[in-house]
Amino acid sequence: MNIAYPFTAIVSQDDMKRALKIAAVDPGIGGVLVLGERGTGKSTTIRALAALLPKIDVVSGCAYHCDPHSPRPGLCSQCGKPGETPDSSALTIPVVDLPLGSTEDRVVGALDIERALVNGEKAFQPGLLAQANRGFLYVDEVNLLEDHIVDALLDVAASGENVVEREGLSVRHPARFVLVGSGNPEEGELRPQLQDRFGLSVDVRTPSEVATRVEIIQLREAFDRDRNAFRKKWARKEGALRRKIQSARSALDQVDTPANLLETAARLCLALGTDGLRGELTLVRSARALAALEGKETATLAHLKSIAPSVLRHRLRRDPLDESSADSRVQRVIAELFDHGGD
Amino acid sequence: MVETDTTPLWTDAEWAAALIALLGHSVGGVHLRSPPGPVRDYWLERVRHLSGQSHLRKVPASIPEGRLLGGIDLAATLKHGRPVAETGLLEECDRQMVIAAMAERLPRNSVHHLCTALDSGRIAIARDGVERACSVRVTLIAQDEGTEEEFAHSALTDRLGLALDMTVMGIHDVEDEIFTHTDIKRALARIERVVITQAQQSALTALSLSLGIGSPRPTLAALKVARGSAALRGDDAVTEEDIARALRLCLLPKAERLPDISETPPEPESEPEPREDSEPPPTSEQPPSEEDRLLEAMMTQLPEGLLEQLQSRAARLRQSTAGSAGAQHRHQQRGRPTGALRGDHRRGGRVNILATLRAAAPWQPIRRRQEAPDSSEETPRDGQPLRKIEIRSDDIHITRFQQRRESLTLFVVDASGSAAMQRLAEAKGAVELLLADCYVRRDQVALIAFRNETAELLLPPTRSLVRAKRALAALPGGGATPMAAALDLTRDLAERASKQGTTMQYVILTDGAANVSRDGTRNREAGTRDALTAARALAAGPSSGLVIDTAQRPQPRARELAESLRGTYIALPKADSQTLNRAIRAARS
Repeated sequence: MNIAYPFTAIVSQDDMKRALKIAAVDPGIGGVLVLGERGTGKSTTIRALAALLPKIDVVSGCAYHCDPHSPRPGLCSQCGKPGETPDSSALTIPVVDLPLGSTEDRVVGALDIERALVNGEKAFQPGLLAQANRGFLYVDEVNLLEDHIVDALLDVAASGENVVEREGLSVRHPARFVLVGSGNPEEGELRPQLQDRFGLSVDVRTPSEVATRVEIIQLREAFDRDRNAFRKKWARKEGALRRKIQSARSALDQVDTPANLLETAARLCLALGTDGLRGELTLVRSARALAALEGKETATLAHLKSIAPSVLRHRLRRDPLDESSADSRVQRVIAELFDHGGD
Repeated sequence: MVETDTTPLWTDAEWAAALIALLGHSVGGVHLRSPPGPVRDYWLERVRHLSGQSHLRKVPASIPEGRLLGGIDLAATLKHGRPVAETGLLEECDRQMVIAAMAERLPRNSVHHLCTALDSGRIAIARDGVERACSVRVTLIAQDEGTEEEFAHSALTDRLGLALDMTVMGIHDVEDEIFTHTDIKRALARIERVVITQAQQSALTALSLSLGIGSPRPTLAALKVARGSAALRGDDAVTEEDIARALRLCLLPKAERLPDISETPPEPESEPEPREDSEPPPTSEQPPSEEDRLLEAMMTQLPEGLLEQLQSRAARLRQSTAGSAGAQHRHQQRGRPTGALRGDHRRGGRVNILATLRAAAPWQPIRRRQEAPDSSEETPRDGQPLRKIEIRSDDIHITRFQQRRESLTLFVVDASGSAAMQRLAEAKGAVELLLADCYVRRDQVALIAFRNETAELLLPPTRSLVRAKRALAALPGGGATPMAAALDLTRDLAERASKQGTTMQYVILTDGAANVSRDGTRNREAGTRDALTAARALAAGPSSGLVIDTAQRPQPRARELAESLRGTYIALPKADSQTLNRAIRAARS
């Protein structure tokens, strides 16, 4: 009933759009963090993504959207039971909102009070993390999220599994989701541990060219006047992008990643001094997803270079004496490594 | 609609009332900056009358999140024996006009929920066992009574299309009514037909950019307001008058800088005086395009409008010197609830009814059987409202509050010539590392730098690392060492912090070579003497601190300072920022 603004009608903000598309193609990348001042279309863009997501096969009636085709260990206790193959149905990849002010019982799940009160049954009522399994979990103003909710998220995001031990319940279920967060960095920073969970991060600004601004204003005004007509007008573009994401998803495994690309990623991370392997891994996976999105069979250096700032921006160690922005530091190292005969 | 020659102040207020009654949720609402008083009450009554609502609901700033969003209705839950959701205030006010009282005091979470409601007309709830989304197409009148630098949160004001400042309006400014409820209804029927040209749209967009308005929301609101204004005039086309009105009500209040105007604006008058309603000046020549012509016409309007703004801002500043009576309220938080624990309510604490019920719920059938073993009608599924809930003391849960005393770390950085040259970069580095540390502990940070004649509070207490980093980056070095001034400023801040219930700790990075006295003259002896006096005064206060000697060779001067401050002294010649950071951490723990 709530009509979202079409993704394809969002003017400029290419970094943000690309990062979200990549996350839609390869959910394993680890999510997207969108930081920017107010009025940059952060939430609009993320909500618009929901309309573009393809359908996936799920076990009918499963609260966790288990994949009927996947091997048993990764499934919930019900679907994981040996036996005949369960019925499957198609479901649009869910985008679940985690609103501020959520209480822990609704996030991780808790005792189903209704069934407990009425039937005296001890039953588990799955929470938002269950609904987000195999989909997206969106946290607006992620930097304002309460600490105990962040703790719950961190734990689950790391293990891909939600373990609930409360009120005499003992439940574990799969919870693999693409975490998407947005916020205004002026209002306080993200806890470093949480920031590290995001695969890609983008910095959005309001465009300052008059022509772009006029275009934004006019499109938005048209949308506000008649949402249905506006969506209809953009339906073809939306459909084209949806198909593109769908085919990129299925082509992802076939995209070739040359060995020297892995090496390049490693050298880039080394030169920037990013901690851990996560950066390298995400760098290669993102380059591959980008190649798939472009319909290419091989991920190239160009893909890697163009996605590198988004992958590495939030992983740089703070250098107190370097006042330049994280983006320009990544760009500079890329230039040093590849453009000045460094190779 | 009656045309009258009222003062522009009231005319704008009356138009704003009519426009919000007409446009409602589509422009978000009104940011009403005004002290409480008859003018505001009268204006609100006008809004209520024009919108045809019987009364305006109010959201108090202190409203708990559960009431704002809704949660579980305990009375109904107990009555029906199953969870019943309670409607939140926002949902009750769907499609209505709501007043947010004392919007400048709204907690950040409430601001977020209001923003979500204004953005999408819906909110999602996931709390206390209730999970759903509901429609909340509210129109918000945010009453901002802030003085000084207290303002309603910018995330909220950005979404409120209209802005009205009544701080300079007195009851004598109130004039006749212009609109009636019928005018609004007539305009509502007309507004769909109203045309705004491409050139007008572009001109408003360009203008908002030149006023430094980054977000597109105010511009979108301005377009709607211009069309609404035309509809209220009974016209099908937006004219310059409407554009000027949109400019005054939507864009100018959000202006962050003056646009480039070639001719110099007229001399500002010292007192705001009622002026004639500003008619768009007729332009006789024919400039190249409609858009340029419009822009120019609006530009010629600007100095007047901005002047009004600046004057009211000045008036606001004048009023604000009275002091901050409300500063204490904000810190009367009892901490935030962080879940529930099984516990005995007799030992104090608030019973968490929901958690208690949840704990008791699974045992009900068993307990009922125990309680009335022969009662034949005790069937668990009959749904009789008479059924009691058996609660044992074992079930009782207590809400756990986390009372976090706010803490503030103040950095006092010597940026004078003697200290700066080699050490300023080191000091900056150390502060940045400490900032990250402060962030982890959720401390606030503030930054004072001192050089030449004065000490300056470069960064008022904040939690934003981004801002701290920026302030630090902009810190220049060189000049004399006004130590006494820096310590006096530190003491000011310490006092303010303790009034707000904040614990403050300061870190002074200096070589201790004070050479400016309190009266601002350069004199090493007087400078040192004043510095030590100031240090002792600071030491008498509640805050604690440490002195980091940044001199190349440790000097007795800084040690003496630390002793007067009764603080910890750390000499760190040749230390890099990492070592410095470790030392500070060690001293603190």
